[in-house]
Amino acid sequence: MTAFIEPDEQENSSIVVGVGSQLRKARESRQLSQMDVAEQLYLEESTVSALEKDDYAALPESIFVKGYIRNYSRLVGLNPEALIKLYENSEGQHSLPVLKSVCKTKDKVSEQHVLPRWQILSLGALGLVLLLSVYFFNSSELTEKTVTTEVLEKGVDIALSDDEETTLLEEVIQSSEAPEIQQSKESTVNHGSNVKVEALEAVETIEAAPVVSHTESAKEVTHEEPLVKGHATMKLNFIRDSWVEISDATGQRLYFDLAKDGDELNLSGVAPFDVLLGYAIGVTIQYNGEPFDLMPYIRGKMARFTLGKAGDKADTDEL
Amino acid sequence: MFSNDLSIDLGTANTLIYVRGQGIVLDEPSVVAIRHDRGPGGPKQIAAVGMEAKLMIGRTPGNIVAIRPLKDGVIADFTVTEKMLQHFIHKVHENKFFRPSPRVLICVPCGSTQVERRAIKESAEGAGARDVYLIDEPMAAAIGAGMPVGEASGSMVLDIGGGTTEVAILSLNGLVYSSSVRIGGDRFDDSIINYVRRNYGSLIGDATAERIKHEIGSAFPSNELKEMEVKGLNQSEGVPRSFTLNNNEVLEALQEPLAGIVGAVRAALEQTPPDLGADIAEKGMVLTGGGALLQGLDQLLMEETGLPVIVAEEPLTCVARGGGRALEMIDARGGDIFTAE
Repeated sequence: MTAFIEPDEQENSSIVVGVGSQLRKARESRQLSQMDVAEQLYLEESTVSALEKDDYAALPESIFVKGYIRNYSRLVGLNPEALIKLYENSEGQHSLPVLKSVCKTKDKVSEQHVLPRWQILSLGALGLVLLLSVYFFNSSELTEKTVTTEVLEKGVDIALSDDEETTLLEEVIQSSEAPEIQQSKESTVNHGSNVKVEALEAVETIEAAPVVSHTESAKEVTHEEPLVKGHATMKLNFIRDSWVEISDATGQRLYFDLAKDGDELNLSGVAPFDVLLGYAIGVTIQYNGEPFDLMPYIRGKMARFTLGKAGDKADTDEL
Repeated sequence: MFSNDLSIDLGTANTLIYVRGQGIVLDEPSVVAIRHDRGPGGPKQIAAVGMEAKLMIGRTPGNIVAIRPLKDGVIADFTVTEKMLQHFIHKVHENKFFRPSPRVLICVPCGSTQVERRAIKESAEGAGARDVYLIDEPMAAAIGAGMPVGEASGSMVLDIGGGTTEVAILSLNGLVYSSSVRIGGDRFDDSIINYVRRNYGSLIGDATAERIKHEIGSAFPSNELKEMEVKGLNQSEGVPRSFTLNNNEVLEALQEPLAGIVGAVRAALEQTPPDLGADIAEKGMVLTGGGALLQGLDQLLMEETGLPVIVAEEPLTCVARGGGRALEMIDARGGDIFTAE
């Protein structure tokens, strides 16, 4: 076996002579010693002998080795580029030294550069689309909700939980005359068809403790009769001229005009109605045949409120 | 990605731009030709930048001036530098639809002052860079040459650029010693011009002087004789005349700037802490920059210092390539390691 391998090896070495042996041959042909070469190249003798033995482990980084080979081959009259190419081929992986940090900084790949800009842009666009779709979904759901009573009840709860809105309600109640509220409350509770009562009642619970019974009665009332579902009617009597804007829950404009003194408007639509009265003092309203008290909503001469819905809407809409 | 991160070697003579993954994408002279419309003092316009402008140096009509906005490695003309950078950055991003705003790493001479660094930084920002990092030129050169800068072992690099020569000793990713002398390729050219005027009574331009330097310039006496025919304006006769220069004459012409460089190297070695000095004596120093291509410069330095001297591979692009690798490092580790404010 060895007999077969040995000639092979010899052949190989004769075809591809190592960098070191080529340098050594050239040096010997010029009758120079390693010492002479080391002196002329200002290298140490050990470096020169390592070069000739192709012992790259004993030599510094490849940039230096290439430099030594270039200088050495120039000294002994060889073609430096050919030898360097040979060295690169023989060593294979002469990768540049890895840059490393001496500082103990943690590896941070700065976040803002992780994503290329087009990805950020497309993400932003996607987010926008999502937001829009959520918005549309919600708004369509809202219109459905307004019709069902359960949702209405929920709406009241939410409104109550919100401190700001309750304080608003309180203010409203304080500003208007107390007996009137009592009146309206009683009257509406008796008939129990108006959701508005609930809100007012609920506010009462915050204001004073003993009203618990009231709320209970109100709840009973709401249980007894389902709330306005779909259609509702309202009747407006004018004793003065007033601008009127009324639209129903579907967003349809029921009335949008100046009503004259002595007019009577009979409107029907899907509750709740958004109502704006330009001269509210001169108007009386009957909602589903029941008189509706405008007083709490009058600001100056105007009134803006939602009729037929839980009190929250009316109050927030108020100017 | 809209724009690539760039490493720019904003040199006095040449500007090189390295893009990660693409290598050196731009190598143009740092020259801008400016056209004055309606006479001097009128509105200015950029007539040409880079190679095109360099060809105009010394050959322009009255309304065009070809200027080099950098002198001695630092900005001499702020607005023109900004325009030039803008032009180069756009050129690199030629086919891009969006306005490029890359992160840019610029190599600055280690001897430059805070004011000069700020000027470079601001002109790069003005040219549309998103972030600007600065790195000392010798550091970039050493990284580009493939020296083990991160190890606790001394490495010495001598970067001879167009305007400055930087000599530095590095260890553990930092500069242990650095100095910058304002001698570079330009000074070689000037010396050749002066020599020719003194000895031949002829005037030659910068371009001719540079050609002489490239073809027959040398820093160390050699046995070979190289000659070159040069045409210059004979001062006594007032007409162009041609004459022959040889490499020994050029060597003589270059003595003064070469002595300056040798002096800087010696000063650096004197200032080096002994342990690092020992490392350098064992491995040798590395030459980078265009000046490293001057024939026999390594031999001269070996003779003068008694140390092994090695010319880096592709010395002209070492700084830009090293800057590119430093930029990768900044990507991985944050910008605080290599930035030099």
